[in-house]
Amino acid sequence: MERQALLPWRLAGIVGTLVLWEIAGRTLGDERLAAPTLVAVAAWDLIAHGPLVTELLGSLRQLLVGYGLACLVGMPLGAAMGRSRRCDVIVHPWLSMLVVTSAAALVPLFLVLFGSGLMFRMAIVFMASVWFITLTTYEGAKRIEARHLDVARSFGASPMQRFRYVLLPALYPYLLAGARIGLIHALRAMVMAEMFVLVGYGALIHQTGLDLSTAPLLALLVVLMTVSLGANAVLQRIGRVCAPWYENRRRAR
Amino acid sequence: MPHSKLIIEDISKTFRRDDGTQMPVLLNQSMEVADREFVALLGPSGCGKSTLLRIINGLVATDTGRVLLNGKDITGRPGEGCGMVFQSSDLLPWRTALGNVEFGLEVQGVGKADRQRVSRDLLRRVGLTEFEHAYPHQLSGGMQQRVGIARAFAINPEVLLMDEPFGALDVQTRDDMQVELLRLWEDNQKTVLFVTHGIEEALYLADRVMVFSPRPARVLKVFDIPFPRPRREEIKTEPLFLEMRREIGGLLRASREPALA
Ligand SMILES: Nc1ncnc2c1ncn2[C@@H]1O[C@H](COP(=O)(O)OP(=O)(O)O)[C@@H](O)[C@H]1O
Ligand SMILES: [Mg+2]
Repeated sequence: MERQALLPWRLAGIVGTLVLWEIAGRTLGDERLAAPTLVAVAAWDLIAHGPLVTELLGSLRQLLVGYGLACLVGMPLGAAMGRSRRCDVIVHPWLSMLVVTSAAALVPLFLVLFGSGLMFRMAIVFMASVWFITLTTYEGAKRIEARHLDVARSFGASPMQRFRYVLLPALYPYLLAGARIGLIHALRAMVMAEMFVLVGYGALIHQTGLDLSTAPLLALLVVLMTVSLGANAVLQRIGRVCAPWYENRRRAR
Repeated sequence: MPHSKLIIEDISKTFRRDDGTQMPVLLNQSMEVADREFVALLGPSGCGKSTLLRIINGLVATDTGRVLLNGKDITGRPGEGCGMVFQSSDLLPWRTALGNVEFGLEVQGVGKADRQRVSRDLLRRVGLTEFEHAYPHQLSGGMQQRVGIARAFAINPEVLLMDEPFGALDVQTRDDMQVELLRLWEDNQKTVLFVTHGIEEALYLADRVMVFSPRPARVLKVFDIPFPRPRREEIKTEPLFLEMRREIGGLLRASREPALA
């Protein structure tokens, strides 16, 4: 109900912004700020005939490796930190420092360490996302309620069963939230890293930025945003379907 | 008592406070419970009733003594014949009502068809058939506690441990739940240890009421409750009921006095 009542406003916001952008675009000219109508044409052109899709898919494939590794490392690490004091005190100082470090600041070091190839891009994506995934999982693991573990123990659950029946489901919403935050950071780091070594979608953005018209450049940015939002929405949808108790509980409050 | 189902022998427990000082909660407590007996443990809050129940269940390690079920030592071993109903029901929020009732059976490795049959039957008996797919947050407090009770009954435990199961409910719901619990228990009589701080609740439900002192908990007096089964709610206004209620009330007040001074 609430959502439906707000729909006209949501649409008005989008249309209003597009109109303002169109006016600004026509005033400034497309060598400075291309209007949305021109951007739409450019986007269609890049998607249908240009290198956009190939470069994007290539970049995303590499991103998935670094991001997948980040999930594989960050989730168990965060869970272990949340459940074990010792693990927490060992890892936490590093986690706190690395999570606030911009991935861009690591570029020079990583170029020295990994060269400018696949390893470099994977490492940057990994470093940009793993700490957010770890931290989110850690928060979830900390919040697991002792009384739920007691219930499991009371019914004779083994440690393995407590992991499967209590820890994992309790952690599930946090794993998904971590995956979402991590993915956003991974996407941002991917483009940034690619602009340093001039490959993939990042290179495409960089080169297109040298064009006379800004329409293709803006089209590339809009496509990137759409892909990021889409990936985020997919993960959110997975969460809603697989953990209905979580979303509903939040709404009930 | 020729055949004791449950024997509690010389249980003591001291917790360490955050500031490092010792806090004795239970001192050398022993008791015997007969098969199918309904025993109420009545005492002021904070005296150590939950701790005793958790020790019997094996969730908390005891400092001394042991717990015997059918003569077998079950000290510190959860899942050995005891089913617990927790204070605030403590349902698993990610499981539906049915899934929560199934939990104990699932842990025991009972197949899906079997455990659903048992669990559906129990949900029906506590009047929640239509709510089997509801998550705990969609249920009222009374319904949640019904699921909690069904969950404990599902594993068909030899001893049912109930820790103030109706403590958080409003008076009307509590009265209804007491009637319902007795009906369920009379269908399927088990040995019950029922922790409460309600005198009326203890008298209405139990065969025997053990009155505990404030911390460290020890048994002040044991009352045998003479009212016939099945219990009728009307006994709550009988002179004998009121007399016992007064006596226990006086006992609890007297035991509190030194603490007030
Ligand atoms: N795990 C624990 N660690 C420290 N103190 C505890 C612990 N569990 C209970 N206590 C303390 O022991 C006392 C008795 O608690 P409890 O058995 O829950 O009382 P009751 O159930 O009779 O209200 C309380 O003062 C409580 O704070
Ligand atoms: Mg208690």
